[in-house]
Amino acid sequence: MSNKKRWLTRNKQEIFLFLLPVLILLISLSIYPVIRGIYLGFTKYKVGRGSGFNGLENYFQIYESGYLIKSFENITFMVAVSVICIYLLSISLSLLLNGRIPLRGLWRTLLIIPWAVPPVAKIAMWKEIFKTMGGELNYYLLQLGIISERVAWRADAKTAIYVVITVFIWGCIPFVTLSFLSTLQQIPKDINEAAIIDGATPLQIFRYVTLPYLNQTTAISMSLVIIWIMNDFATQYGLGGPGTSTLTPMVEAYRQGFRYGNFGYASAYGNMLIVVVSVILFIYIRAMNKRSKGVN
Amino acid sequence: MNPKTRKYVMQILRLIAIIPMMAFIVLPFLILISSSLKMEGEINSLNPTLIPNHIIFDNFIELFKNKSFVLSIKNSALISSLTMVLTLFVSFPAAYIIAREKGKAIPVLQIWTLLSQMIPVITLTVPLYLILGSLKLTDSFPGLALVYITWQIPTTLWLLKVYISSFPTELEDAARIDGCNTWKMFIKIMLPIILPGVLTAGIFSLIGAWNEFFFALVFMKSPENILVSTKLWAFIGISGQSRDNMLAAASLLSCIPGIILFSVFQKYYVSGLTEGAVK
Repeated sequence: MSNKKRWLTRNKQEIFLFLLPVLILLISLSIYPVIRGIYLGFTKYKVGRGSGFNGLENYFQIYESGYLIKSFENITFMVAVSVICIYLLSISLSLLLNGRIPLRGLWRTLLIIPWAVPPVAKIAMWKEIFKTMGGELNYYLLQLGIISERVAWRADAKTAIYVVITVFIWGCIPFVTLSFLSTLQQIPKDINEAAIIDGATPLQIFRYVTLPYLNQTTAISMSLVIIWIMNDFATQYGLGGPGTSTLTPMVEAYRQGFRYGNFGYASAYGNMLIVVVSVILFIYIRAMNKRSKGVN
Repeated sequence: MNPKTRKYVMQILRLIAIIPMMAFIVLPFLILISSSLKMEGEINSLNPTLIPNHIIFDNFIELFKNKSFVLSIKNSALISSLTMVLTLFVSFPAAYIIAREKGKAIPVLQIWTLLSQMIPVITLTVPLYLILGSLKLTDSFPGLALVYITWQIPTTLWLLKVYISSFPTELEDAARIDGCNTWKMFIKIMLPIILPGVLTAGIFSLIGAWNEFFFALVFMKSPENILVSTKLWAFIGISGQSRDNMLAAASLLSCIPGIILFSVFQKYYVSGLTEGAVK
C-alpha cells in the first residue's frame, strides 16, 4: 500500500471500532430483546413463578378471556377512523398552505403546536375539554344549540372511543401535513402548466398530477401513523372509557405484564401486534407497487 | 368577474376553509393556557371562558414550590441532555462509516433501523425490564438512559448520515494529508461545517427523551426518580376537579422545550423522519 493511500483509506480496525458502540447497543438492547420478546410470547413466564415453553397456550387463553377480539376490534376502529380523518385534514391543509393564502406563515407556525405537547400533557389538555361539567366542548355545543344537554363524553361507552381518536388526529396532523407540504413543493411547476395548457380542470390536475406525486409520501406517513397509534399507550390508557369500551392490545398487554406480572401474556400480545403490523405493511407496499406500475 | 376580484375571492374562500381546521389545532392549546391562569373557583365554573375573568399566576408559583415537581424537571433535563450527548457521541462515528463505506454490514443496519420503528413497544418492554433487572439497572438513570439512547440511535444515525454524505470528501482527504487522524478531522474540520445538522439530530433525541412516557412509567418507580412525564401522570391520577388549573399549568410548562426547539427546527424534523423511513 502506497503511503498516500494509507492516509486516505480507513483501515478495517477503525471501521470496526467506529461501528462498535452502536452495534453493542443495538444488539443488546434492541435486537436481542426483540428476539427474546417474541420467544417470551410462547412461554408461561409469570413474575415469581418462573417460565417454561408452552407453545400456543397463551394465545388460546387470551382468546378465551374475551379481551382479544374486543381489543383488536377497538384498535382497528381507532386506526381506521384516525387514518381517514388525518389523511383528509392533512391533504386539505397542505393544499391550502401550498397555494396563495393570507397569513400563510402564521398558519404554518401554528401547525406545529400539537408536536410540542408531550403525550401526557395532551391527556391533561383533552381531559379538561371533554369534562362533562364545565368542559369547553359541552359548553360551546350547548351555546350553539347542537346538543340540548351535557354529554358525558368520557364516561359513555359509545363516545369514549371518539375522545381517544380525536387526540390521535390532533397529534398526527402536523407531521402528515408538513410531509405532504414538502412533497407538494417539489412538484415541478411546468407539469402543472402543461396540464393547464392541455385544458385540464383543477380537479383533473389534482387527480392525475398531484395525487400520484403524493403516493409515496402517503404510504410512508400513513404507515408511520398506524404504527404510532398501535404503539401509543398514554392516550389509550389515560383517556380510556368505561369497561372495555376503549380497551386496546397495548393497554391489555400493559395490564397483564406490569399489573399482574404475566409477562408471557404481555409478550403474546406483542407477537400478535407484530403479525398485524407486518400484514398491513405488506398489503400497503403491494398496493403502492401496483399503483405506480399502473401510472407508468 | 375580472381576474383581480376573482383572485381576492379565491383567497378569501381559502381563508374560510382553513380557519375551522386551524381552530381545531390551536383552540385546545389556548384552552390549556387559559386553564393554567384560572383560579380554583373559575376552572370549575359551568361557563368556561377562553379569557379568564381573573388572571392569576398562583398555579405556577405553587408548582415551583412543589419540591417533587421541581425535581421532576431537573431529572428530565438531566436524562434528556444525557441522552442527547451520548446518542450523538456513539452515532456520529457510525454514521460516518455508513456514509463513506460500502460494506456488507451496512444494508443490514439499514434494514434493522427500518424494522425497529415497526416493532410493538410491548415486545421490547418486557425483555428490557428483565435485562435491566439482571444488570441491577431498573429504576436508575443509567438504565433508562441506555434504553433511550438505543431507541434514538436509528433516527439519529440516518439524520447524521445525510449531513455527513453532503460533506465534501476532498476536504476530508486534505485534512488527512495534513496529518489529522479521524477524530481530529471530525472535531476540527467536519463538525464546524455540519454543526446545524448535528444539532438538529441532537435536539430530536433531546425532545424524544423529554416527552417519553411508557418506559419511564415502567422502569422508574422511586419518588426520587420522578420525571416530568410521570409527574404529570401522577397529577392526572390524583387530580379531582379542583386541581385542573394546576394540572394545566404543569402541562404547559412541560411543553416549553418542545415549543422552543420545534419552532426553530421544524423543517428538519419532517425530512429526518421520512429519511429514516425510506432509506
